[in-house]
Amino acid sequence: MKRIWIALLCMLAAGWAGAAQAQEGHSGEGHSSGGSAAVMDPAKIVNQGLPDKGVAPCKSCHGENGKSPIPMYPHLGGQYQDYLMQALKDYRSGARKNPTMNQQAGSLTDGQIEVLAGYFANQKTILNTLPR
Amino acid sequence: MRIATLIAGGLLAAALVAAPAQAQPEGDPQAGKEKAFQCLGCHADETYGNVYPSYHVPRVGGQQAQYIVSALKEYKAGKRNHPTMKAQASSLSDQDIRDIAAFFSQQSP
Repeated sequence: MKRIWIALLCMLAAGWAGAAQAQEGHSGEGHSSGGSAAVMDPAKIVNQGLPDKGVAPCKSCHGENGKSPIPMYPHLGGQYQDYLMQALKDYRSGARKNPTMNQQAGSLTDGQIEVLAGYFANQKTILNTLPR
Repeated sequence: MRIATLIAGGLLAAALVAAPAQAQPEGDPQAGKEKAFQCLGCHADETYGNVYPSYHVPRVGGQQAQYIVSALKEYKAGKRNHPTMKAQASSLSDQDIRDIAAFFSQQSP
């Protein structure tokens, strides 16, 4: 019987911690962007993600400058902005399938997609057009 | 004790099975350069764009070899939809794909 109480207390504590974290994330957003407006700073999304939307920081897999630290994930630095926008929109709609990227792009607005694609397109040291 | 041995043995066996599956055979960039001739028509042209929807053909020079391999295999298997890329990839063997990926990945700025 005692164990059940301990288990229940643990669940309550975990739930409270989760709620507190969600609250913190939300009010944090409020300070920087004024209310519930979408975060439009690409560097913030790249480095911190959008915790309240379940979006992980892009840099975890693609690197802060679009040079991916993990061989299976693509470099994005220097890629064309319009190609990256197409990729993110296809992930968002599900036309292009990848569980991680479908989740990541799922809640992005058109504006966020545009600034994120622009951010990586401007990191010009990694990708280039093939030589003739 | 016997259970611990079994578990340890099982883990070791799993590791041995998983290791070769993760290690990718290296592609040959020199062979890839010759096999990539057709790729250049679109991927070596700054001005070339997809017709509809309208966007640039992506830059692939300097891209991660493993990503190129998985992208080409997805096109070949029809998991990624792009008629031109599906047609291109469907004629490539796994070795061709690895060689082309090795060549692309070396074309850094």
